[in-house]
Amino acid sequence: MRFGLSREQPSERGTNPSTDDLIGQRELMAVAFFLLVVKGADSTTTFLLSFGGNAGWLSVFVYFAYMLPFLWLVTRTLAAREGLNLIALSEETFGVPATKAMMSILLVLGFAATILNMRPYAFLLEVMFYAKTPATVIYVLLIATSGYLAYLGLETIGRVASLLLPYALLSFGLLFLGVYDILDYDEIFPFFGRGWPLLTGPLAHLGIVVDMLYLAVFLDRVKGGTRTYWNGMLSGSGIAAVSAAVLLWMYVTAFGYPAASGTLYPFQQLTRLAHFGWYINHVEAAFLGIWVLASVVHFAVYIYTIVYLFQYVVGAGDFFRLIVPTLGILFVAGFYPYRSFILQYTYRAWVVYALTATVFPFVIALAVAVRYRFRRSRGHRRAD
Amino acid sequence: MRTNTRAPNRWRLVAPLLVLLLQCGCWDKIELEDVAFVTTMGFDRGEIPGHLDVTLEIMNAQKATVALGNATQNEPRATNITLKNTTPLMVKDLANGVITRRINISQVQAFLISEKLARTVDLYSVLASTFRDPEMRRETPIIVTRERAETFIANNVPRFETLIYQFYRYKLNRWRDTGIVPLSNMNDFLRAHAAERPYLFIYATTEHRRPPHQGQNDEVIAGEMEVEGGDPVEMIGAAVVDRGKMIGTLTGEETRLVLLLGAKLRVASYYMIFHDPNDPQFMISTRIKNENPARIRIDTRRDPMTIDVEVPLYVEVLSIPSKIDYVTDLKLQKQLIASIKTQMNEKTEQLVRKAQRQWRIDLFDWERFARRQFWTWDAWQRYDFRRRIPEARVHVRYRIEMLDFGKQLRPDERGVPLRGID
Repeated sequence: MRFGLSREQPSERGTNPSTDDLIGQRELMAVAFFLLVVKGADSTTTFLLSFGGNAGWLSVFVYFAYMLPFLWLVTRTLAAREGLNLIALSEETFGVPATKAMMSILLVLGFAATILNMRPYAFLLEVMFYAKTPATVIYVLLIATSGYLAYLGLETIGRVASLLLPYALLSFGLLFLGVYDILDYDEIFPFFGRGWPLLTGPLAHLGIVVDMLYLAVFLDRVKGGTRTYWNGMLSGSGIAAVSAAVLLWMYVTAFGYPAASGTLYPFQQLTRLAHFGWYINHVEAAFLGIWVLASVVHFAVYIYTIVYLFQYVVGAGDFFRLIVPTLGILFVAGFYPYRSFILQYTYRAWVVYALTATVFPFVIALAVAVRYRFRRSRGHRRAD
Repeated sequence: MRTNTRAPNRWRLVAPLLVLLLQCGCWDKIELEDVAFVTTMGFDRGEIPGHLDVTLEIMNAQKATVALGNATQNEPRATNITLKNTTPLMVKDLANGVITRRINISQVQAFLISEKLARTVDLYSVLASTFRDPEMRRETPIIVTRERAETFIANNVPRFETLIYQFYRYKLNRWRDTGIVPLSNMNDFLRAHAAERPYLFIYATTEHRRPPHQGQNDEVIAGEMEVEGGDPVEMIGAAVVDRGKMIGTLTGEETRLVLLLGAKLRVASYYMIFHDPNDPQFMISTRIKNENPARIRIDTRRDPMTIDVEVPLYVEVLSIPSKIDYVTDLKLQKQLIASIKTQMNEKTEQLVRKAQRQWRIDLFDWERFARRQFWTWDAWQRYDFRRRIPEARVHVRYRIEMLDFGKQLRPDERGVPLRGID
């Protein structure tokens, strides 16, 4: 028995009947961009700076270089059975029980990662901008808006993302113009920062960029199949890598190193430094707006992915009815009372290790198995 | 068949009203009328060890409004509050004991720290308690005052600026060009402190004293200028802070040299005077332009390391009181160039000696250039630049790229040299 693996299944209720909830390359590129670029403007920067030191900006490119072979592998593997998504291909290759077990692990880890990512966003907004507003309210608003976007479906998420992409790029450009006179370019030296950890750190924490592979779960929702998937992911993650690297570079050159590694919420602190001429300053609200919208898109994709996996794992009939329980779990779990950011980073590091240790071996195993089966079936055909 | 996606009319009316919910800003809405904007924060040593006396200068924002100008003309332009033996952020609440409106420090134009506090307490620990507050901004300038910050704030009543924030804005913008005052702010201090580098703070005072020597021009620190009239604040020179504590001062001229040799004075234009090589009792006035930063080459493979600094200068001679014709006589021009270089070298040597022998610090921030020669942070830290800088061999060379004579062709031969005027 299969559970909602393609858009023909009755359990899939699209909200955009005109296009049947399909997304194209532009939307996929924008989604990939927002999945990754926000990591250059949230607490992930702490990881990146700890790997590379003042060369933290280079670690973004190291991540990109590590990620590309896996992305290629997934694309090639799925291209062998064009029309199937990752779950369907896994079911066909490993069988339903093994796939369910694997997707359950991905679901739990996805849940944990989303919770550990989302709560700091609410705290960030509280600490930096809304000191009197309870973090609970901000957290609820963030969950509600992201959840609503996820409820509207993948196509809506993709459209919002593609609409927002030029504004996000424009805001990065404006941010650079706003701070260029305070940047000290000598801070990027020594060029390779902490040296070897620049290469080994991202390798051990590959789970940070695992979102890219999660998107393969919806391959059947992409117009043009694996070709579109490859082009969209490559362009989206490429633009995101350059943007995130520029952000990291700006943190190091604006705050200096090692001061940058002790700066919490560097993006928001950098936007506070932005000024245009003598009188136009205190303009952080403009950047905050774009950042919040980008975050909503980012978490909408997370929530959509979780619900999708949730539906598959529990075998639920209606995709959209699972949205509310999922948001409820996110809300309640977000209140797990860890008291310090250090502990939050520790938990997050565990989840990242776990993602690295499960997703990548799964992808490799799937690729090998599909290749083996493909060869065998071709051999059978020849024998016939 | 297309489905009708138009929303019912009642929702089309209500939906825009929901946007109003976003306008209210939850719990953090601020009415401008309800806020008292602090323009300056001053920190002094409290009587109890570990405590501070914090002074807030609160601007009367209504003075900034033209329409309300008449209604508020009898009100003071600012009011000062000093809270004794407290912490920098406690005052935000405590000050409301004597102030009606909510204290807001997001518009602070300068943090003032008294020299006594700066010399005895780690400034990082003083400022750290402020920069964690979300209202605090990292670009806020920091000034070390020779007297108590409380006294400085009370005495600083500029003649022309109704609103005190304009005083700091205009003042700091002017120093950007001249370099006789460093532009110190919170962000740069945090950057230098984390990297264990010394840092120069603006040095200022409102208490004037008799200058130790006459005719020193910019070779003085704040409070020693030969000046009458003007605003009560004298702002010239720098306070040198190393490992969080103030260790000395620099005159205005020394400050400019430090910035010049550290390639921090870019596209600047300022006046300097030199002794006339052919008649040393006269001073030649020049305008110096830095169109290109200094070229700094550091060889860390040698032991002791060598530091070569080449400073390109564009010199415009504006006044030749001796009436010697440097304009058309090329031989005299060469003498003048050689003399300017010699005088600059003498001043630079004194300053480098002071930094290396007396303070044993990297006063010129040359560390930034030495770091380029290392591939990794570990290698850089193993090199221990800070320990090696006092022994480094420093060579500074001034290169006068162009000698110009302003908009006058030659000295007026019929004129009388200044010494002939009695």
